[in-house]
Amino acid sequence: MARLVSKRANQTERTKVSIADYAVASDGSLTTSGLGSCLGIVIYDSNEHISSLLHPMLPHRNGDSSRLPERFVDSGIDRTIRSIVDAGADESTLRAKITGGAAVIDFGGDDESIGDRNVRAAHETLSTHGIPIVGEEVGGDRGRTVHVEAETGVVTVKRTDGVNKTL
Amino acid sequence: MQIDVDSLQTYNELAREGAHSAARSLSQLTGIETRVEVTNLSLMTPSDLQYEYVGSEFSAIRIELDGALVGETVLTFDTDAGDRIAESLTPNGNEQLQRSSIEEVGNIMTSGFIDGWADHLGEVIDSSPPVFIQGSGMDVLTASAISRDEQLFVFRSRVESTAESIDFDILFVPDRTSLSSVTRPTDEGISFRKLEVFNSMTRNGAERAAENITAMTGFQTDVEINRMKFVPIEEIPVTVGDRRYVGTVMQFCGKLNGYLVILFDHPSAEAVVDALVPMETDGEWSEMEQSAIKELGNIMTSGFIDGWANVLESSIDHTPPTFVSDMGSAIMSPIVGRMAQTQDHAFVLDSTIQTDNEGTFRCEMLALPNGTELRDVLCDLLIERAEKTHVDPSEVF
Amino acid sequence: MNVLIADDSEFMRSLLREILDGEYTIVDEAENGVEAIELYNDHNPDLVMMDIVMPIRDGIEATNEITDADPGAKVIMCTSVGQEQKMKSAIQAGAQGYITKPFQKPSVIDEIESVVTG
Repeated sequence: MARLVSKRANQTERTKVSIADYAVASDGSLTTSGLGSCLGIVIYDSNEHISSLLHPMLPHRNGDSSRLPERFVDSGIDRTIRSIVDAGADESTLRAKITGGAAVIDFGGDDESIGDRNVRAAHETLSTHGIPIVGEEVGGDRGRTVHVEAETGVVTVKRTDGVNKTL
Repeated sequence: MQIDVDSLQTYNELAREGAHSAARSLSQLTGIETRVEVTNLSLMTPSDLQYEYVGSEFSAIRIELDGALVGETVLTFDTDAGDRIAESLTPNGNEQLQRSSIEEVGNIMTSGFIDGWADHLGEVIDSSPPVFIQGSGMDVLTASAISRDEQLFVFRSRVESTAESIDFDILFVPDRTSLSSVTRPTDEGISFRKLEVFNSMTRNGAERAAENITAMTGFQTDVEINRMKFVPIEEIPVTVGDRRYVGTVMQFCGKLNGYLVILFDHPSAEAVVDALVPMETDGEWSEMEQSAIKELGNIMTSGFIDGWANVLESSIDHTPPTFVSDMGSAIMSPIVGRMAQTQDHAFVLDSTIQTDNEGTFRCEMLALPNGTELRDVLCDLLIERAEKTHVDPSEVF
Repeated sequence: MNVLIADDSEFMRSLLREILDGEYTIVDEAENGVEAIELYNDHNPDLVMMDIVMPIRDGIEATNEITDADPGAKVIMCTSVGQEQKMKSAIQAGAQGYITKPFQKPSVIDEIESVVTG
């Protein structure tokens, strides 16, 4: 259930984004937690002071329109871009930051992890849209919590090993 | 009485939409912004449901339903939240007026919740006048719902306010006969009895796992809550929450495939390790400590799935355990991701094991079987074998 | 009497060591089914305490191979698995005993004595 947070919202408003969910905000902050193999994809326009946060769990929707678009990296990015542009962002100046994609559980085997596949799908889809990735904190084996300052698109990533990074 | 698993999905969606609609009503009435955190459907005994409300005083508004769907809805919130809602509606009202305002909120929210169901059925669902209740545990349901000797279908939505902490639950407990009668009969139907039996088998498995913890650590543990949940797959991590856990993940394969996750909160994991590995170590989990947690996970898992295998006269293998230490939701995300490739909803068999004196030791066991296979297993389940969960090796050797 | 322990869990091996120490001689410890077969051939022990769920090859497969090559081999499954079908496959594989975890020292010693003397 995606939400567009109105401009009337006060400065301290924090919008929580669930799994398979996204939100767009022009002030306050956007947060998502419990990022394991899922991604936190931030797409923002710093000129128009508007940001979005998407939390997809799998790489590709494979054209299955019966499935929730926000669940997938590719269709989720498409949907988020439409929303942020509708909310006033300029598509040509959009930038992206990606976080998450960890292998929290070692399932063994040689298959590429869902986290790695998600990261690859994000690169492919954003590149198709011509959106440069200007910040990235992905992979590893630790869970993450992500906090986005809506006006600036500044992203803080807290990893469960205690390492914090600003993108 | 049969229930079609596909209709569970429809009901879950109706409950979810109903909860959104109820939350919107509250926001419109009070100006308090809310969001629906999770909506799930559980099959559980009345005492398991009551246990979740034990120890916390709550206020609630109960409305009984009649007509196309018989049952009851209960809106529960902690006393502070009730006061806040009442104050926003009747700032200077006396107690009587405040209570009346809360009842009316309950009425409006319940209508929001139920209308979608009525529309879906194309029929009328009547609701009784709201009854305001204050209490804990047992008081959450009416005596008639509790007295029946059967497990309950409980739809439950957790609604949270975005700014203040005004959190409440919307419970909907339909009468099973009534729920069954609105389900169109199909070949895919599974009898309530089988679901109930499988749920009881799972409780036995969890009890065996609890006994194994006791045998290994000396902690007197018991199964506190056991339920079979049916949830949209992306809601599973939220249900587990962002709390840090230590535990093990295993895959089981055979007649049923899926994942088994055992999570200890940090104090419990430390207590377990202290009991199993008497030497002092510091900092992160040492190899031996991880090994001890994994072996405990291994033994608990067997206790849990052996019952299924023995009743089904089949074998269910499991992989060696993988040690995990992270936020609960982050641990669940790759499992849910893998399952989401083939299913949108999942059955989660969820048991909480803890020591009698609350708070000392607590462990969550979550089994996530493949949905299609579980359906087949339930169809083939022989109720008369349900007691045969345990086999003594000496009977075989 | 010489005993070989096969269990992937370091913790479980240490528990078994504690129980068996003083009663029997532990000749070696294997961490998976393949190692169990190799170490059996190296030491030719009087008894193997064999876990079932292990990486690479499980304990049933290892037991099968050990008893095929040495019909006189004595193997006790020492596992958390309490499934009847699994017990039957352990018998088919040639195991003579079966202990389910968690266990207490007396029951382990009883089972060993009954398998060795029986």
